[in-house]
Amino acid sequence: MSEFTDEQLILNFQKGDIKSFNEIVERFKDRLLNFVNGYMNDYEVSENLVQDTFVKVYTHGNSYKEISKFSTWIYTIAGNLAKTELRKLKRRKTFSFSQLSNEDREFSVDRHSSSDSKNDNERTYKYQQIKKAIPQLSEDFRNIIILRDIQELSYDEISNITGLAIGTVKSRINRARLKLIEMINEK
Amino acid sequence: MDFKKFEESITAYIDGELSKEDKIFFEQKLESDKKCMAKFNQMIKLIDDLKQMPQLNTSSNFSRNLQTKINSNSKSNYRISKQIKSIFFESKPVFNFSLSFAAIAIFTFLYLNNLDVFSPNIKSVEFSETEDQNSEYFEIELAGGTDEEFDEEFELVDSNEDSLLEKNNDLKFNFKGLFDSVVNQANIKKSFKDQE
Repeated sequence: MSEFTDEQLILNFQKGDIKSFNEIVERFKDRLLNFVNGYMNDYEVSENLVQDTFVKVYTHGNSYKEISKFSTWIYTIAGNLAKTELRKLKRRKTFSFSQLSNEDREFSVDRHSSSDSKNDNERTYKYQQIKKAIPQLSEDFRNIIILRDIQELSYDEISNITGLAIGTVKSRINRARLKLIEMINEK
Repeated sequence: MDFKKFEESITAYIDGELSKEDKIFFEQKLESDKKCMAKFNQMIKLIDDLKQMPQLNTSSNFSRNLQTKINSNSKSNYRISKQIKSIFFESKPVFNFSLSFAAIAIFTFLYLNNLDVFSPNIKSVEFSETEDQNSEYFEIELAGGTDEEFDEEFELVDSNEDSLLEKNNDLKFNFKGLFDSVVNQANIKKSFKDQE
């Protein structure tokens, strides 16, 4: 990875540097996948939408202006695509979270490689609990907690992506966390 | 500080955003109330767990598929622009003139005669619920059996907003259609789930 900022990369791409575009893809593909999956809860659909997001960046790259952070811009594109897709699915009335659950999908990255298998099992169980609880949160809570606690975005960025006031973002995050604790405790 | 207020303040405390006074109250409650201490610890643990949660990764053929999508998108854009170019720029001036003249003549004839081309007859309207209370999605069946879905492309212009829900759920609206002019008006029955 180069030391260019995201904003420098998109500006380079606007000047025709395809390598910069490829680096943007590398930097954002997994983050966007996890973000979009928070809406869709379906791996295949989410990956497709992330690809569509990059196609939009590729075809409309020139419409990015350096007045906002690039991450805000790309998250907004991905979020809008996800919302549109979700709306289509809901309108077709074929969508169900339970049907689209990806519970069986194994995580491909394990950040913990502790040799203590008991701890590993406990940790895995705990993650599974959280993973099952997150899709059950309301959309407002779900996305905000993914952006803040999993993607570790700033309040300012979340505010820009969601279009909510910073104060609302902060209070929703607190409520989302409390709700998540409640859901995990119930299990 | 009661328990509810304590709960509401946890994130602000973690972010260091409580006022000096509130911080003192918060910490006093934290030390004196076991329930508060337990909730606080759960929150800290949850934040830590969420940060360390394993993440989904894109599949190994992600980049290849993306490249294919970009290529097909570029090709289709190129094809469309080429077709437009060939029709309007590469054809003879006499053909272009005739085409424009014919289009204007048809438009004028239909518009002056107020034909249905500009005012679709609405047979039925079906609303679907959305999570967002402020937006509506609706399907409109047009005369002639054309079942089309409209979503944001057409605008509902309520002529009498205040009385919208008072007339036995009758919704009167102007249908803003082709050429962005108000061309039709319809009275339709709107059913609200919560009123059933």
